[in-house]
Amino acid sequence: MTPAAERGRFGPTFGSVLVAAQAGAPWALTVIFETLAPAVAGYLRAQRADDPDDLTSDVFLRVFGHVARFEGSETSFRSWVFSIAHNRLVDQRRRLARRPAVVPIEEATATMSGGDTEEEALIGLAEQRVQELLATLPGDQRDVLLLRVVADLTVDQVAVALAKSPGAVKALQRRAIARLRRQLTDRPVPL
Amino acid sequence: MSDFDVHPDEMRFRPLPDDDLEGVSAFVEELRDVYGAATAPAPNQALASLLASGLTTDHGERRRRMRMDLVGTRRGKIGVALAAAFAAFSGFGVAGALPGTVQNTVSDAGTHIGLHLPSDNDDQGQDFKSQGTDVESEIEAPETTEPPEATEPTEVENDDQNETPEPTDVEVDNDAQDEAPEAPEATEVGNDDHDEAPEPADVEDDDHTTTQPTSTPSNDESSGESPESSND
Repeated sequence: MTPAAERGRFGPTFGSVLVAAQAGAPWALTVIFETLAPAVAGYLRAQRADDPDDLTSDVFLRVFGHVARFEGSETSFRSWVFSIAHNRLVDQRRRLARRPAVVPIEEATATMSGGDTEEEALIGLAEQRVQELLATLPGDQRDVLLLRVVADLTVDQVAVALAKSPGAVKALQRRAIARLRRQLTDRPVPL
Repeated sequence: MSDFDVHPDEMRFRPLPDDDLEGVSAFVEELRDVYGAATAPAPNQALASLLASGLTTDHGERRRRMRMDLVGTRRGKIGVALAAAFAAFSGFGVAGALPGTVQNTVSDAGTHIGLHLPSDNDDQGQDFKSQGTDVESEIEAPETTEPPEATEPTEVENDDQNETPEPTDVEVDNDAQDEAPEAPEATEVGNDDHDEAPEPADVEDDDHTTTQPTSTPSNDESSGESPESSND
């Protein structure tokens, strides 16, 4: 993995990576995946997507299917990828709402017994605390907050990804933080 | 960390200004720790093969793959079945080879979108036309002689001669142009004129009576479309 990929940024190599990806070069597709997939997977996991890793692959299959027609900077590319991720998430939720997923009992028990080590247990507890707080937010506020914090998008990028105006995104972010602040003061959660 | 330690490109990506995070900064940090995964998840099989082989830039191959993907879905299969059914129906419909009621339905549907498809009534009407144009012209000749058209006076004359209109028309047309197929066309045009001409006559009839004794059979015989179009 390249240092740029570790930071989740392409940097000055973005132009050449994009051109190579549009030509179908496997190395360029791999660089794009390694650079952006962690943030996409993190966003989908924070949104409690069903099978977030598989959905991440689905997102990048869609990205690569349309990358030949993409024009723009790294900033807009990142917005575009997260708009696809968000749309796939919404699609998945609609699909699951119509036809709830059936989890075999073996998989359910395997998931429950996954936190064997102390570290995993602590991560699980931290995730539980975070999810409890996120659950207090309305959906659009949660979308904005997660795209800003987990996906590291700017206000303008979030506006593009969610098809909202930057002003609306700022307002949603302000309300989300105010609500979280109230939650933390009213009901202290050990962070 | 001061702002000078951050690369200018990264400045744009700073997620939230610190003043916004007052009171929730610990939560935001934990959110990043939990969900800011450092490594990419393992790609699924389809993506792994794509990453290994790269994108195909062959448009034919891509189109073929997209077509296969489309046909593979349930919606695609339904679409293909509907398209095939439509093609079959429209083909048979144009040929007039569908069963009577179905042909009428297809013909009516075609009329709404501006297509003239033969209907079961048309088939009967054509028979009546070939045999019964003279009957229509006999019945309606006094009305149609009023519009100043060159062909109709000859028909009136032919009507007077009883069942000798076609030879005279053919002769006239042959004199004018050496095209044999125009003879039936001339009669069809005459029929169309008859279809249109009776309307004022019907109105007059309507003033007197509610029924249309003479025009009803003629409309049925000529085609079932003109009443519908007038209704429309």
